[in-house]
Amino acid sequence: MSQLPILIIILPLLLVPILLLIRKNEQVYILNIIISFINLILICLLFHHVQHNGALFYELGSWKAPIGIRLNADLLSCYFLLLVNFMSFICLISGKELVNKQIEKENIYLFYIAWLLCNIGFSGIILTNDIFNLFVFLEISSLSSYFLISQGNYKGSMIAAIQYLFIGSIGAVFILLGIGILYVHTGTLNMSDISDNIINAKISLSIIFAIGLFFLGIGIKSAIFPLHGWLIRTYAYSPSIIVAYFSGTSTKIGIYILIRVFLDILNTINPFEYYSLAQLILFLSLAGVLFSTVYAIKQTEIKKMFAFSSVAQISYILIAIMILTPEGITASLIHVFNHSIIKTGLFLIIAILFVNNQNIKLDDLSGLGKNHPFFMSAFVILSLGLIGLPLTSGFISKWYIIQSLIHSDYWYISIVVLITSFMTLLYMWKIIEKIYFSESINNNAITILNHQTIGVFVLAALTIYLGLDASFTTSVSGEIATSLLGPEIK
Amino acid sequence: MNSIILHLVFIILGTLILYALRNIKLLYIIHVLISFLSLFFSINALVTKKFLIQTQIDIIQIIPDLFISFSLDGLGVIFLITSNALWLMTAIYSHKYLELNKYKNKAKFYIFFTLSMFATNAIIYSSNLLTTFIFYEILTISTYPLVTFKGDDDSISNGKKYLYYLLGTSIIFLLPAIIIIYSIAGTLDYEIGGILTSYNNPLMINILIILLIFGVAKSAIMPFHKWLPCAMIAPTPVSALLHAVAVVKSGVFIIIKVVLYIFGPLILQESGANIIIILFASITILLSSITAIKQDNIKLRLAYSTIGQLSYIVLAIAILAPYSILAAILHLIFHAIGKIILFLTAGIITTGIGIKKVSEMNGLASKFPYTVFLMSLGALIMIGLPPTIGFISKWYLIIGIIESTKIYLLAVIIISTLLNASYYLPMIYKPYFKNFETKYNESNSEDMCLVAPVIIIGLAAIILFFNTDSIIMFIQEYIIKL
Amino acid sequence: MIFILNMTLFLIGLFIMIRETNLIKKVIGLNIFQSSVFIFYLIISKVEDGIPPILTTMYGVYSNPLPHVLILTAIVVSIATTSLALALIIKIKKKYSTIEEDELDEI
Repeated sequence: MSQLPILIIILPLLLVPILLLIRKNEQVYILNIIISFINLILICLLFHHVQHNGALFYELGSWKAPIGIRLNADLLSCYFLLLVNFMSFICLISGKELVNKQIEKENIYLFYIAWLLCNIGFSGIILTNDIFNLFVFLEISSLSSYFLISQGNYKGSMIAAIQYLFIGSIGAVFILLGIGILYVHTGTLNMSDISDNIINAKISLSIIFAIGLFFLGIGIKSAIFPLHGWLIRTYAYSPSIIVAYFSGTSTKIGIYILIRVFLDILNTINPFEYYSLAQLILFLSLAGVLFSTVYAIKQTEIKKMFAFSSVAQISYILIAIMILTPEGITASLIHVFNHSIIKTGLFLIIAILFVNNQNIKLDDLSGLGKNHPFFMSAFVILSLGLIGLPLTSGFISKWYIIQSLIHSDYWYISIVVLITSFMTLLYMWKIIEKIYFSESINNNAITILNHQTIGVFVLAALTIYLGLDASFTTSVSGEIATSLLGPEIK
Repeated sequence: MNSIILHLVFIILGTLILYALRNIKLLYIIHVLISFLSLFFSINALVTKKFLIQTQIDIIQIIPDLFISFSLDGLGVIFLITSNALWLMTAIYSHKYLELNKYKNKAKFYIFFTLSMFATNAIIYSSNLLTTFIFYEILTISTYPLVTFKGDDDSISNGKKYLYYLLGTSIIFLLPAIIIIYSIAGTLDYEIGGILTSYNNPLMINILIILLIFGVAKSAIMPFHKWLPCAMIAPTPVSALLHAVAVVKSGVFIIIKVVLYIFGPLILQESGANIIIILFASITILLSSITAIKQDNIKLRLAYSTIGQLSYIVLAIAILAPYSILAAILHLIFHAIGKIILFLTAGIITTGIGIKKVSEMNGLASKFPYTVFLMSLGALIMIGLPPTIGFISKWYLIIGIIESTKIYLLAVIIISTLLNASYYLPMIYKPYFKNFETKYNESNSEDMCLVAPVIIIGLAAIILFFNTDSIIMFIQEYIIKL
Repeated sequence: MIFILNMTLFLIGLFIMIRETNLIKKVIGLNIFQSSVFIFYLIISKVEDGIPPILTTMYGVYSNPLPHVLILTAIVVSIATTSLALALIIKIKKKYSTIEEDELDEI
């Protein structure tokens, strides 16, 4: 049981060279699925263990911390680990035909290997307790994602990949410098040690500089407004299945790093107090919600519309975090989970329907309701979840976000959140109207295989299940928030 | 199993059965049967006095400490029987109506109709604000396919406005109000006397009331009333049942319940919040009556009349006098009956001869005797002339106003009654006293299958006039003390 | 003083990356940018009067070897990034016969 954290990272990692030797696409795919499934089971075991017995530590090579690298599986890690790996698994299951149609045949096995590496990178970021190790895994996942994006067969895929490479590397280097400055002040790279030692450090300009660097690097990774430009471009040009995968994972990893660094490691020095950083991020996110929702309404291309919607939802999550109350953290964590499921589902549906279309206009969706009624019902459920209608998981997150805003000093922000929720209705309903009420144009060519729909329906069913019985997300998020910020003051 | 759950589950099962059997020819029989059994459940609830036992059935815990829960009280029983009885009548009517107007896709109609009535019944049965909110939204969504049933561009654009108004107001206004109430009171259950009783911030109470009356846009308080004329693009049975009985009455029902059981009369009067409701309701009454005069399309005129009549009910509740609360509950029933008669007869005329405007109604009495008589009865109920039931509710409203010493409201009532008369009377004298224009072909006449349900409702209206005492006694026993 | 020089290098690298439109030049800027951070780590590892960290009995004060090790890892990452970037640039050149960013943006 104590070996679980390392197994989750090592098992897929050991598979990678084996997959490199096996060049057959089929076998690579099947082994990938098997390993992802085993990983998922291990994560569930780990989650169960941590929920009942508390955090689990694993020291690499039996070198005791702070000398060695330690893996730390606490509730926050397990929550994100479960989310990321589950999304990866669902996308893998649904993605086989999509990959075959879109990626060049010689590269398919490399594609799956890169996917596996990306997942290993994400898991490593989540599980590690060493801040430099965080940087290493961050780079592992980023490099694999640059490769994955470049594999799209659209006109601008490679260009989008290299532009994302440049921006992502800038962000990573910022984080590296921030890590260096922290090391200077605390003399250790172990996250738990840093949080112990940082109280003793003299708060000088360099620490504030480090905080700023961290924030910029994380901001680039999570596509905080106004650093969200790469997200729109990337989501438009990546292979369709990768967009589905990233929409649920990569930005959420950025949120994880934010919570981990600012609320866990640097918690004792209250990093958000300096230069009113919290207020700054709060109002930037507010602007972000407004701008991205307005842009989303103006979009005519579906993938970009969803991308702007993602930016808006990430801004909701950030708003909930930045009010710095336990309720707010709870709300943001719930929304992380729910939004991943919904966005991945929406992008999956778009991917399954329009694998090779780069420019999916609103009109391309007309009449789909008549041709594939069952399938599009999942789309409707997911859209209702995005808008936040009751009985969907989106309603639960909206409730918690609004409740935490009203209880804090920033109640007026809830007005903006509510109005932008309504605006979400505006752009989603355009799509639903086109699907059900317009005449179809040449949609006979789209055939949907059965197992592709399984993934989508699992996600839609989860949206409703988590809307009816949100005890999993709410209780775990509440526990995490309490452990980070202390219990709620009623 | 508890009969409330049985009732609701039954309606849902009905929806599924309708979907499964959607291709059979005699689907309407199943629909009529479902509505009949639903009525049976409602009368059963009245007869066996289920509402005396204040049991609450908690179903699912959605948010910690907040459940979807159901219970039944006296006020709910009244609305329950009214809406289910009128559902049965509309079900019988809609079969022939869909057939005569050559609508395709009848299964979709019956399925979403049943689903909407499920949502209405669930709202009646809700025992806390969260459950009410959930089913309020479900009602909006399930009526949308009915509003856009015809599928043409007009329907779609009107349906879009309908959806945006209702969902927008509920997301922007109602949701924060519920969350604030939950934070203040710690619970969302309906309790006699209100749950906010110990809260003494009058500004917040006023803000909450404003959020409430805007948020429950189904009660059609201006300025968020536009969805109701938009919804008239739907087929007539939809306009009749949903937008005269189910949807709009749900909105007013929610306002009554929130005023009586969440805020409580005491705190509303103390903080003066009821003045705000009175203000908005009065403005709505007057403006809607004026707008109704300008409408030539029959259904639009009836729609604006509905907006005004709903504000009568809201005004009556806001006055918070015992007699006015009585008037509000009575008008809930009586307006529903009167309006549905008007809509159904308008549908008969449209189906029979294609007339959609009041100006074209000249001399119809010769061709459609029963229909025109019933339409006149409905119009008289709406104006509030004796010996119709509309007069009774207006009478008690006037007593309530005098009781509450807000005499200036009498002016509102008198002016609006005069305005109502001025736009309803043409619908009475044109068919009777003008000559029939021969440009319409005379082959169509009224179909008795369509008229029969309306006759039953009309008979009920007349019987009710002579038996109002029993209803008043029921209300006195179970709802308020006069 | 030396930190200021380091930060200047940092800013130069960043500026090159943002300003230049030629992709190769951007990669060069990326390398300068990353190298400045490596140098930062090296700067902080030097202990005053410290000798290179090889264990002897004569001296007691050693320079800190840990940042050097970290930089080795970071250099590897930087190499991987550069090689991936260059591979992508080669492919872009093959496909579009230009590596100027403003021309690429029009595609």
